[in-house]
Amino acid sequence: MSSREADRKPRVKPGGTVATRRGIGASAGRIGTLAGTTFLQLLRMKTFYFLLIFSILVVVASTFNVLHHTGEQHLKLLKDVALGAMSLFTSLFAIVATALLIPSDLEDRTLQTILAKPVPRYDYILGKLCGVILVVAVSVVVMDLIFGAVLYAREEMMVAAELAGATESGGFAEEDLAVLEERLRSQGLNWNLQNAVAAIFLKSCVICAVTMLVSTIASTSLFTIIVGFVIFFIGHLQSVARDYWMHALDAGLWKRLFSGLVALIFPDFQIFNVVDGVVAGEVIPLGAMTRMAGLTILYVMVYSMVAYLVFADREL
Amino acid sequence: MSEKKTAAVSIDGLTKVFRGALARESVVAVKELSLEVAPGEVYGLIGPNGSGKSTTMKVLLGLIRPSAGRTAIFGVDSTRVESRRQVGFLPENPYFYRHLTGRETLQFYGRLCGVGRGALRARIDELLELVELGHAARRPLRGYSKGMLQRIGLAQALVQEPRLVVLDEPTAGVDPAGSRKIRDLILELKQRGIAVVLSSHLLEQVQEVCDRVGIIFNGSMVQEGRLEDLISIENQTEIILKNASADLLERIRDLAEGADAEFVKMGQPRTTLESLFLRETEGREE
Amino acid sequence: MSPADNPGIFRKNGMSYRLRRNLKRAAAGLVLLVFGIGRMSWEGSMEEEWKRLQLRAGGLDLGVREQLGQMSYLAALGGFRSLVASFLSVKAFNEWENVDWVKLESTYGLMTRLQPRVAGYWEEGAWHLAYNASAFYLLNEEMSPGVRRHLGGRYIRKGEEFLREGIRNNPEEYLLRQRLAEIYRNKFGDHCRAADEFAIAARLEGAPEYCRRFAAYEMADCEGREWEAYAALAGLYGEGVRHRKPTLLAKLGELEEKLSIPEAKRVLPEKGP
Ligand SMILES: Nc1ncnc2c1ncn2[C@@H]1O[C@H](COP(=O)(O)OP(=O)(O)O)[C@@H](O)[C@H]1O
Ligand SMILES: [Mg+2]
Repeated sequence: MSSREADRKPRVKPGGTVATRRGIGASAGRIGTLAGTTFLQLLRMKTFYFLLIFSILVVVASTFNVLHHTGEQHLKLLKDVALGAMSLFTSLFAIVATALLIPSDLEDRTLQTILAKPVPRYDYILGKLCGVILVVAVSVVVMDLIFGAVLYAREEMMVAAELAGATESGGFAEEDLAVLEERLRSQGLNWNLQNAVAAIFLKSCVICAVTMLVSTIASTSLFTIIVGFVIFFIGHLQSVARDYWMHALDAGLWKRLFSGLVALIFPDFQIFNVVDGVVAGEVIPLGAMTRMAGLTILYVMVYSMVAYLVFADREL
Repeated sequence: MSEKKTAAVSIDGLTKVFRGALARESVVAVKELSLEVAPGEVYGLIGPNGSGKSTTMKVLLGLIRPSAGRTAIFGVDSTRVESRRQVGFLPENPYFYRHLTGRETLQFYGRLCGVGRGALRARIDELLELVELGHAARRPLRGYSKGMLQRIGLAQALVQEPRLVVLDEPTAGVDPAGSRKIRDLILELKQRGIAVVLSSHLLEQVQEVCDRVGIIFNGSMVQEGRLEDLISIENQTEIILKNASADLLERIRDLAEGADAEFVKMGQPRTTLESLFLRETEGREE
Repeated sequence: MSPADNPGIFRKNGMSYRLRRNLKRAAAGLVLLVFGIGRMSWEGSMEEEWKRLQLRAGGLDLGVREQLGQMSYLAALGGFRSLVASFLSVKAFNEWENVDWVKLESTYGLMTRLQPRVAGYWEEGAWHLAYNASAFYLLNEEMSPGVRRHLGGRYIRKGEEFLREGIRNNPEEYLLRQRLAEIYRNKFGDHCRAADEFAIAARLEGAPEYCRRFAAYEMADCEGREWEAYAALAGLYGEGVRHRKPTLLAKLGELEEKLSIPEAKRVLPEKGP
């Protein structure tokens, strides 16, 4: 390391501005270190309890067939509950986990020790963000696995039960049974469901980034959480405001300006709400998913940049 | 690269005003403060609580921006990230990630400084030995005592082998034995040629380690200089003898009076309460 | 970078830190606004694409809001439409058990408005109306025969209407066509229209082969289309053994008699003496 340190020194430009250009690799290493520690921190804070609640919910939802629902309805209900819970839990977790990070570092003065090292503030923000996104990703994968396993098990059970029932009552030809099975399986486990899960994850990334931005301004976790929830809520109605701004040309000036401002400032979370469509069986093409991912990256980049601009001169 | 001549710390006309939000009044925390610390020198910043010591250090480390004036570390302006390459910082009442063990903590800060893997492992072993925390290296910081936290904090500050360390109240709230250890560590750093800036609100705590002190009050420097110069009473001389007979003492007294010097005081020197405590508890702890 | 070549070792920049900070804040606000303007049209176009992909159901009007109640309405707005609809299906089940046809009808109306693309809701709602509700009235001993017929008939028509609405929303779904055909066949005894609907169903993707047979069976019973039906049935017979179901053979035999097809031209092998 000393050789690396040594050949860095001379490159400090006299009077230059933030001369951290050299060693992007080193910077990635720092972000990785910060992300890893953040990941470990959230892991050891036992924030993963909500995964347990999720599993219980999904398992309970999977035993809902006391309702004499048809197999199809039963599987739909299971998907609704599981994906709904996944979406809600992931979003809430993203808000709360992100809100805990910077304010607690600030309060413990850990931030002072970190920034007293040669760590640019954007590295710090990006490291924290990557860490929390990593945690969210891991939880989404775990929930997806639980959900997939339960759905698959239920699907197999329902198919077996319905086929047995049909054979017993008689009058069904091979062909009819195949149709029955196919309809049932169309409600079961399939790849398109992964698009919904991916959308849930992308939405959480945006939530993390916007909450991170809030926490660079706020001084407490509680405040950050509250503002995070407000943004979460308004973000779901944002498209209404955008519609109003773009189409309600006859409305009053102030109303239009206000809705325009809301549409400009708040993220649009509706774009990520594709669970309903996917459960109803609509297939999301790859192109649409790519656009969604592109939008997410843009959101995360812009919000991180704004977070840095706000955080750059913050007094610690 | 005439870095030999570059001061480890230069503070030039530093003023820091905390602007009060809403109805609160603005606070002038530091006023026109200037000082320089040479490489390898141990400098003590002394002053009562609220006199602006921590604020000065935070500006020096780029944690807050000055309202006026400038600060630099080895010639690099504090507002630049690379000014922090050569400095280690131990804040007042430090807290680190409580879920990390002592070793993980040092690893974390070492990696932030870009220390390579192999070098870091050796460095951490060395530091753990230096601050005598080898036995606790695998325990999470959650269970560390105040003194242990200060020492892991010191190790953390030293992890990238900086040429300057800044310690804010390193002995505050630590028991005398712990305080002694920390002062020994500071002397050790001095031996190695590392410049140290430390602050304290107690003069006695720093007087044996500092080459130079600055006394700061209400944000302004009121006195600065070499420790001996500041506290010695210039027209007095102290003679300490061991096993002197009553007769000898009598002869000295006569000698003094015969030579036109005023005899002020004679008696047995008192040990300080602290050294008594240390002597009595030596070897009993742990 | 040493003091020698850089006498003022401090940053030489006249701008005060406060000014810099304020500039950065202004930049932050500006970036947010510019990003907002930039993404507005992009998100608008994505929204359009989502609608085209049927990912976004139509807006929820005031009527839905009143029927749903505040909490469910918010949930539906927040991307939990499917879940709300699922819970409504549980509610509908209770209403069925309580033979509350009025509520049941409105619940299915709500479910299908929340998720018009879930064919199962249309199918099931229509079944409740055209079969369960209508039978409930038609078989009700306490009412006079006139009232029974009137109410029963009305629910059958409701079921038919409901399915037609469902087909408008899911034109590619064969099952809804099949169910509509079944209502014409079972409830109206209208074999001609049943034949047409089965035929449409048979052409849709994923339709099972029996739809084609059913279309031919119904056509055989439709006055005036016997020749057409005979051709269809004969075609199916010729296609393979898998179509030679007892019903098909029976219908074919009936038509051959009815249309007096000469022995030599008949499709069915001559029966033994
Ligand atoms: N963030 C801050 N906002 C407002 N006032 C502050 C802030 N930090 C310190 N001060 C004030 O500045 C003065 C100096 O504080 P400090 O530097 O912490 O003193 P010391 O470290 O010598 O005890 C005190 O009056 C303190 O109240
Ligand atoms: Mg202080």
